[in-house]
Amino acid sequence: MIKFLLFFSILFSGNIFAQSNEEKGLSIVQKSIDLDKGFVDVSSEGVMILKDKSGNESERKFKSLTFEELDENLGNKGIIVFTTPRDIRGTALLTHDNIEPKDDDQWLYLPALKRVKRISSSNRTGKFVSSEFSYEDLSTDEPKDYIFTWIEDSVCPTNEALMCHVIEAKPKNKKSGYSKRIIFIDDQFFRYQKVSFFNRRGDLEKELSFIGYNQYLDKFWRADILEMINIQTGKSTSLQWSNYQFKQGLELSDFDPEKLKNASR
Amino acid sequence: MKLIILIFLLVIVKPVLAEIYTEQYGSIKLTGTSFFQDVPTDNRNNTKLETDIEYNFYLEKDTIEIKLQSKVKLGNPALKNQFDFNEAYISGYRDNFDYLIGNNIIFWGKSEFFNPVDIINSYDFSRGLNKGEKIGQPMINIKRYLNIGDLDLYLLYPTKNIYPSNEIRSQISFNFDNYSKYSNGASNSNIGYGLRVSGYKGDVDYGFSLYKGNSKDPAINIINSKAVPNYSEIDQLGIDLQITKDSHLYKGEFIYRSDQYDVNGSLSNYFASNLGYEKSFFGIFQKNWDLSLLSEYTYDSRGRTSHTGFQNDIFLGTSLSLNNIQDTQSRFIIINDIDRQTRSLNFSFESRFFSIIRGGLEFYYPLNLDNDLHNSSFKDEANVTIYSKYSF
Repeated sequence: MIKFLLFFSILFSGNIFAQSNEEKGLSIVQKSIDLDKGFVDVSSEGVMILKDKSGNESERKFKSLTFEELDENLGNKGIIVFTTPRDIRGTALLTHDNIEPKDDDQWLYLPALKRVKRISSSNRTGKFVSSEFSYEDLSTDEPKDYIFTWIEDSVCPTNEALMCHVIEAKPKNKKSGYSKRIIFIDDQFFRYQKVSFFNRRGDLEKELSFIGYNQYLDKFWRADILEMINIQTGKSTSLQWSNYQFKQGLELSDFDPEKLKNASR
Repeated sequence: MKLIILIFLLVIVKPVLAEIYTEQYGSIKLTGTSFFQDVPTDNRNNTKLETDIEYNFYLEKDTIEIKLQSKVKLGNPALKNQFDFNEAYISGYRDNFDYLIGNNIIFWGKSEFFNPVDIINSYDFSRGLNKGEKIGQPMINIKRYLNIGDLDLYLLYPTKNIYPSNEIRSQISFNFDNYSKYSNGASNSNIGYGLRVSGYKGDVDYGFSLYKGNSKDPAINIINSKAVPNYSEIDQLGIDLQITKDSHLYKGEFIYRSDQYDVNGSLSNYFASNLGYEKSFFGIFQKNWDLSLLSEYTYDSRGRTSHTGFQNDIFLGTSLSLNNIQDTQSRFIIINDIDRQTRSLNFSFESRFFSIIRGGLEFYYPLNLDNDLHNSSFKDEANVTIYSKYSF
């Protein structure tokens, strides 16, 4: 009997060792994505605090709507409507995520002109509303877009009580602003805890920490604060989320470019 | 008794209040304009000072929305139109369609500098003939969401442009009369209608439109030494397209309009178009700056007798966004009339100051408009405008 168990334990452990680091990295990221499936739609409110290296602050507030696209060949839909600074109140950005290498589709609503304008979304390295987040940083990780490689398991940098899988993500798209990212995903709930961004030269450029996770509807984890620090410039952006509301009955047609005017009010 | 009233308020009023969302916001804008030279034969001031106070009230309850935007416009010299409700409507939605009743501003088109298809609103030129602003159009608008795109139907109460008072620059040498003429089917009770299907398919955004009603571009008749707008009834078919390929935007607007007065005051049917190209460069000079190069070519089948002045013109422009905390941006445009080899320059700069003040300047400089039939009245109107705006 002992030999029988030993045989199976060797066979089982042999399967684990047979899994390459790339497969393991991909499976961890995929699990993180799969655990967040089924949120249908979510609305939230955000405050973005931009700090320069001298400590000067600027604040932007916005509302966010996201619609989950169940078709894996299509991406999610999202709307961001700015409420402050007051002079850009009502400016709204609609994004239809696409699977790489196709650029996302984006439309901007300009309330002063009452105009919806399709804009180029090829600027994935550009700063999102002058923050330390690039458009690329804000998009969801799609397994097809990266080569994920598991590196090691270590203590989570954001919470010493948790263990994290450390995974390297190399983008397949040459337009990416990064040579690689190092992602820390906790092994308990498979939540992103920290991401380090390395520029095209291979230097560490930015670090993103996820702080204050809360669980909604007994399933979906969302961090209260996303803190992005630019190591090279000393600038930082704190993105604070609140008032999450899931499954509000939003429809795909609510993410039509023509509906941006309504969202902007 | 007080307890009963309190319970009544808690039970009846609170749920009702809880369902109503309201918001109030607005802005105060101060503007100063200085013209560099006098206009011979008139005594119009070389400076203008204006104060705009805008107040918006928005209410939402269930599927009903109400918006009221009012603006007070004070000026020295005084503006002809000092008060407006450009957005004052009740709107709502039910199943797969929206409706709106009241005054609203509508934009049709894809181009940056000139939009031939954009026809719904009349213009308020109180601040000068080169400072037109859309007037809220009284309308009933029904929108239906279809698989092929969004279908908008409009019923439009007739409106007319507002022209500047005698003291205001920029304008033509004749003073405008308060009286307007209507002819060829137009009248001050002629209900117009519009229809538009708009949407996108892949990289292509499209709009197909139809309009029938009073023209927004009247002929300017000189009667008793006064300029009198003369409106005709027009039909217009329009198509607007944009193709987005990476950082390249290809744009086009095409119209066929019937019974429009030309610059000589003759009715004619014509075709007009505007073809545009925009290319953006992101992160130039290894900074976060974005630079866009814009070009548009306008054509009018009537040639020099076109009422617009954009009969064979090229617009060239650059737009620079610094993508900084202050949202700083600037734009430079040169307008070239190919037929007459005349040009004018426009430059604008805008940024945010002290976190709460949006301010900027606009500069207009005509190079050689003397021989330009449509724009010769602007030949001495080089000016600079400085403004600041506080939003609350």
